[in-house]
Amino acid sequence: MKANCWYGAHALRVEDVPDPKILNPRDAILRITSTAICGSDLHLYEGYIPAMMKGDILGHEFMGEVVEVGRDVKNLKVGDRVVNPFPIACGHCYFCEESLFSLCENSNPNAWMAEKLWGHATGGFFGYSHLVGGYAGGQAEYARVPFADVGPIKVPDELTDEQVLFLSDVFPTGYMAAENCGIRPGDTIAVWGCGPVGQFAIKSARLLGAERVIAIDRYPGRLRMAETRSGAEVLNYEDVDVLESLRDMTGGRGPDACIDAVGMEAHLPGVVGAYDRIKRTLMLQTDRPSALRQAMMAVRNGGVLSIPGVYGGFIDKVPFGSVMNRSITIKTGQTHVQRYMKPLLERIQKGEVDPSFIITHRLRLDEAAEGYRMFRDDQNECVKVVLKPWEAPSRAASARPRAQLH
Amino acid sequence: MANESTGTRPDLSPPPPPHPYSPAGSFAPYSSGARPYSSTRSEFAIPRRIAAGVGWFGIGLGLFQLAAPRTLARLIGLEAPRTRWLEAPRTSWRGVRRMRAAQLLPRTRSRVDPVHSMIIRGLGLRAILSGIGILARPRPTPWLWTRVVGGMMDLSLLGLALNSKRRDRARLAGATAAVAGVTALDIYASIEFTRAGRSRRLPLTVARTLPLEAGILINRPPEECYRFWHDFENLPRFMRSIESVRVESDRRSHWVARAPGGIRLEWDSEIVDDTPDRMISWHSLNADVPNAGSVHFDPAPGGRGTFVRVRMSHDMPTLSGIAARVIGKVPKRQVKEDLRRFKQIMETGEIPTTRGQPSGRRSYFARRFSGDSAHEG
Repeated sequence: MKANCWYGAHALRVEDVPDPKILNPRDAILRITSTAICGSDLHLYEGYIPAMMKGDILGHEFMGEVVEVGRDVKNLKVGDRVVNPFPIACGHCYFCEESLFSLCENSNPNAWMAEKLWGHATGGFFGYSHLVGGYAGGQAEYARVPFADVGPIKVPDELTDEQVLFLSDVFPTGYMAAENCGIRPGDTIAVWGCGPVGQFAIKSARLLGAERVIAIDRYPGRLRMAETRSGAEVLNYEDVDVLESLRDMTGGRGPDACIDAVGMEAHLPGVVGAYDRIKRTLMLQTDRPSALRQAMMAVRNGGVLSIPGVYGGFIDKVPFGSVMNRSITIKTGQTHVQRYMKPLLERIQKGEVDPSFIITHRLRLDEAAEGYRMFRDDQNECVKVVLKPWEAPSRAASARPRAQLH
Repeated sequence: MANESTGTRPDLSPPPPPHPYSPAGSFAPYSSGARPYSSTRSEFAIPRRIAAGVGWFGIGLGLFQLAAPRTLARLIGLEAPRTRWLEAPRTSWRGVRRMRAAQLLPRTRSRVDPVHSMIIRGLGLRAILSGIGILARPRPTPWLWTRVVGGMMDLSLLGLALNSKRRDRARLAGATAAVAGVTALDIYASIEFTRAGRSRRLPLTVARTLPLEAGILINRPPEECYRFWHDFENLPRFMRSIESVRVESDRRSHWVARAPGGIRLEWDSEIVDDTPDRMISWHSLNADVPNAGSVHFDPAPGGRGTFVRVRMSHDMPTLSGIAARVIGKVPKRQVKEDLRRFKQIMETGEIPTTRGQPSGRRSYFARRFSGDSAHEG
């Protein structure tokens, strides 16, 4: 089969690899109909995530059709159309029973490795380094899904792939970020980053009853999407002083909750931004936490800081005095996707939300490398790239330039 | 709420049973004369000490040979007396070449032949390997003999050197005498160990007891965990180093294990104590690596399943305590990983794996590590 393989920073190649096989009784094999490039995949693309190995298959947002099931998978059968969550969870350990699926104690075969770096291990994730299991990902024609009786959920035929695909990661991730804010009527929520997760965090904050949502980014295209799709107020941090503006907009108090949907590769102009870049280059810190620092300072006293943005290792110059003295609550974590798939699917079915609004580009699987480049470089235009592994190759023959593909 | 949980904290570790290694404990691993080494310890002390000595000596000298072959060559007089330019202030090789070209330095070849230093390095490597074998192996006899062979080799090379032109005869003679002395010790120890091994089949080295402890929380009731573990033939499913277990009677079972370095170990094990649903303890009989241990299955508080605790001790029969400790790291990690797999089987019915999954081209080492079904890189 064809699969998008990682060979180092900026080195992705779609190659022929062996087809996946059932390895355990609770496995299933999916024929992937749609898969997406996640913002967190860009951290892999940039080489920021440790413990990647050449030849790793990327991709953790995918859906498809069940083509084979192991003998212990009773709830799925060949032919079912399913969306697959990015965390792998056994369903029976302490954390799975507590609905903390991304912390499954059993699904990460390399737990010892993560324990060295993080103290304790997370569960296994698809296509996201050997620290989290080293599972082959879903930017491929087929994928093996372990614990298939727990993860994938069937989706009704009347919904298109694009409407349900983001149940695999970004929609629940944005939703959990908003849910972690403990939104009460009248609340104002500020969201750093208007990529896919940010868009869904804004949307979800709205769904959960936030009075105002303030979106912060520097790309007018992405800010416009937040404004038109979710009715957010927008701040372009290249034009205004974010802290000052947020204070002004909230009567001096600050947003009730702040969401950092940016993560470890934050961009910040000016001296502090340069400082972080230099430290990161010198390997003195692994992540650049400028959005996080700003969100910490901005949130109101006693407010909540919710962090869906991905961090890998160590950060520096964190204003923790602000967090401690002002009674800030920090809520974060890899999304417990399995917890949100059913309720969010219901919301989609009821028409409360149509997640496909974030899609800006549709490519074939073998254009994956181009998709990554575009997602990184054309952030104004490109919000979400969906890959179609089985798209008829005839489209390749058409001489349309790339930019018109969407 | 944080306070509440700290309030119940003491319950997390139920009153521990007497420590298995304490003499007063309810189970002493080798009670009633089963202690395997006591009988041979005193009478075989001298050869054992000599073997350990030559082992360490080999490693030390070998490291020196590897790191500084030219210095050693000069020390033992393998080369002619110093020529001028080497005593000149140190410059780069290019500088030396330039000075030579300018006739500032005598034109001589590098004082120590590169082939010689390669040979010295090779001999050093051999000595280190022999040393490690002697110190770390339960039966060091063959490794002692490699020292004898190596000593002969050293002596014959020194003999050749004595006949060569550029040499320091006094130093070479001293070195030869030293090597001959050590080789004599090697021969003595080798013969003693061979004889002892042949006549008595006794363990030849001192045992270092390595205690280790590991625990894990399993989200299943203690009875279930106990039942699965008690069927010893299940154990190879999650114990990576155990090849097979054959239950022979209520109390006895036969174990086959793969030790690091491809060695196959076999022994019989006997249940010492067996409390249904709570605890099993055992010790080995007639094992090369005598071992004893216990596993406890205690109910975890608040309905959190079972707190499984394993205590084990291995008697590592090696000449060196350091080697035993280094090797001892491995069993500790192994037991932890074994317990993790035990938990996976109990909770999920399978052992999650990525071995056999597809991947792109892997490097050789990445393939060994990941076990993916990758195309050859």
